[in-house]
Amino acid sequence: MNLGDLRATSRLIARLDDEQFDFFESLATEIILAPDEVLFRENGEAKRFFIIARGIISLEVERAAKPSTTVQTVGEGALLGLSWRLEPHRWMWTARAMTETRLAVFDAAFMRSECASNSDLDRLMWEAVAKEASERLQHTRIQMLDLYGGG
Amino acid sequence: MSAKVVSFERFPTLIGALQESGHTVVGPTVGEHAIVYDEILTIDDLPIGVGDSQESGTYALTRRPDNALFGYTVGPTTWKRFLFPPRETLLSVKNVDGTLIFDSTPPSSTKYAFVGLRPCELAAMQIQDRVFIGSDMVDPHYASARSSMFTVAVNCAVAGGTCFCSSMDTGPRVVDGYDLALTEVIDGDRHEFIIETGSTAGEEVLDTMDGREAIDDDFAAVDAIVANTAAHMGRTMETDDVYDVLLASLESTQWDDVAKRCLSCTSCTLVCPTCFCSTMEDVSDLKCTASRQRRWDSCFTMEFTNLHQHSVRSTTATQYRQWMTHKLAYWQDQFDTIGCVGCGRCLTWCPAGIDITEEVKKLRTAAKAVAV
Amino acid sequence: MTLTKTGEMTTVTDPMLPRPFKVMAKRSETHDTITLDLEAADGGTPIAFTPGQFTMVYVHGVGEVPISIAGNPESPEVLTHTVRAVGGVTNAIVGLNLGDVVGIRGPFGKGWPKTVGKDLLVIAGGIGLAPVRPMIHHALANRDEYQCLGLAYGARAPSEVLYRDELREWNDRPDINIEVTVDRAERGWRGSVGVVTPLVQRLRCAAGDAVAVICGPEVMMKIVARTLADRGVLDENIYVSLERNMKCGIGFCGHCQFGSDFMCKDGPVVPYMAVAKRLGIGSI
Repeated sequence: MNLGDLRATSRLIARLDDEQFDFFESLATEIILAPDEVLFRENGEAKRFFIIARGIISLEVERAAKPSTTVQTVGEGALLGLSWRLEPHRWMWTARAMTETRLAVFDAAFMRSECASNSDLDRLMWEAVAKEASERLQHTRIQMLDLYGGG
Repeated sequence: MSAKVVSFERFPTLIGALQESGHTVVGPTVGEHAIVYDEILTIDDLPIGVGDSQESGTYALTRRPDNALFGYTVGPTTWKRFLFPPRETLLSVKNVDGTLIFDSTPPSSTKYAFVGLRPCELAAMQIQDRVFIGSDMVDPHYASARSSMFTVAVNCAVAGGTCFCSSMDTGPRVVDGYDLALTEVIDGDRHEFIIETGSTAGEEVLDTMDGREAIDDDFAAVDAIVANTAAHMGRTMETDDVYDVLLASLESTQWDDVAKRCLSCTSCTLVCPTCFCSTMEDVSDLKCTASRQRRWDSCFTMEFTNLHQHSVRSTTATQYRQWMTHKLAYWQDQFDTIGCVGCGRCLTWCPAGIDITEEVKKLRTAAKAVAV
Repeated sequence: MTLTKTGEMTTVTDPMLPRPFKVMAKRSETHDTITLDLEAADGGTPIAFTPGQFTMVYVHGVGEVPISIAGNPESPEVLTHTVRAVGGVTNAIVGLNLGDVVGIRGPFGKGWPKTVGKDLLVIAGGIGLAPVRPMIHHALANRDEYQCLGLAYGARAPSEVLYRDELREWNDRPDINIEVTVDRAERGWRGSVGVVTPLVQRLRCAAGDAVAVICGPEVMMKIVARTLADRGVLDENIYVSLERNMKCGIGFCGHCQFGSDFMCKDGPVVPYMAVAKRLGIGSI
């Protein structure tokens, strides 16, 4: 898949050198989701990870006797599906497209084995996961402040 | 401008002349065991032969061996209570035929003559002028009272235990802004007032008084008295670097130290001649006429910085930091002058004996320690 | 109304005297927020204002509070205020009915910066959308003065989003990008969920020469300002609107002081650079 646009929106893609960029392009396949289409469900096996090229994905939690609740949405450039890197490699949330969404898809197992034999790539991927997780944590903490709330 | 020497016996003619020209004469008098400012009808209302003894958290009146009219320094009241009264109705609001009619309360027509205004107090008044009439927004009540007042300033012949006007460059001698300035001279049997004019209005009043023309010896006497007062100040404050010291101390632990002693009682802001903070109160009667009253307020109250049920400055430490940093530093950015005139009132009337001059010294030492 | 200064022929206007304004329209925005359209009831001129300014709003016998002007500066004959019930006076304002009269003084304060030829990023949170609304109206009415125009708005929940119809209208326009997010989703919400900061990137406005105006809770403004700086918006091009307790609105009562600044006359809009340090220290 052509990853040219992602250079401007994805932190990870922007950091790749030419060789790494070619490697990622050769690995990436593309999927397009229609609005409301589910990308993955909570508890499913994390066999792939994604970078959002266009659109918004809603991260949801299933609730007994209630429609699933969106806890956060992620958009262009976001690294999605962090569980690919962390055991037990199971999805934390259900991911559903809010709008028509185009994603670059990568095979998790293959990337893990490449990382095992390429320390530069390994570091790059860990940093990308850590940065994405850190940003989500920051954002979540701010959300929890309920800044626009009463009082 | 001219100068006359008027005897103690003739002093009442000054009060008479001011009353005759329609002024309400206000001056120092003894009230509630302190020197307070109130209406003066005759010379007997003045604190004749009264002195005072002041230190941090301490005030007492004393008996002098003479009949000095101005033998004390400043008490807990300030002249601002006449120009900027503690409570003032600004406007009334009536609901008439479904709409609101707003009426400004006209300023009082009282013309004040302030007799006994000390140099530090005159300096404080000039500072408050910058607040209330010094910008595009003018307070009509203050403007009216200020433009109609007559000033009889008094150069200080005695320095108070907490005074530091010399450090603040506000005394012990008046420089300008007065109609008459007098210096009381008591030397053996001699008890006289050397009165200098500072304006045309002052000239007119002095013309009505009997006295001899002041000569070089008289001016020398004024110089000597003022120099002696300047040499006996109770406190000092280095001011050249005070802006930088305060701005460098916003995160100092010194504020927590003061906060252990400060009661947030607001006394300092009540007795300070330059403090100008106020709040508005809404008062209604049964006929649905509401009035809006302005009353004195203090940055040491919990409600002062209330914003949606929490206060921006909710601790004594942050409140004290605000008061002192405003008085000595922010004031300079806002009004081009330091806000403190060195009158010593906040030292004398603080029940915890907190001394602003000492606090500056501590902050300066701490700031230098950090810099090194 | 004017007063005569004793002994002088000049007259001094009383800056504490309100003018009567009548409630002509009232719209409910959320469970605790309403928008009022007011018109002068004294036959006097409308209040011409610049976006970002405020008036002091007086309710008979209750009190007076500062409220940002939320209306269209091109149509000042309607004075619009969006008010949230958070205290005694604002509760009284929210309880007003059509035909009720309030007192208005103003406009006061420094408004949003005038910029020409640049990208304009507007980031608002909660009721912070009200003080920036006039700026957006002005920008849309003078569209050629700006390049890229974008609004990123965060609200607590979909039911707390202000000016919903107007946001939809703006969203349909090609000459402004609108991104809305909520902290918590409600049934039927098809938009973003989460903080407002990632939306800024989606506005597709170039960072380098953009002017950013931010309005919302102080914590939100601090975080957004830092994010903008990280994204390349120049420090001197970021503006925030700070709120403080005000009793007079004209620099006399002393309540609104923030360091050396009186928020009523040196603000409420201030360059972020000028206040970043003070906001960092806290309780200034």
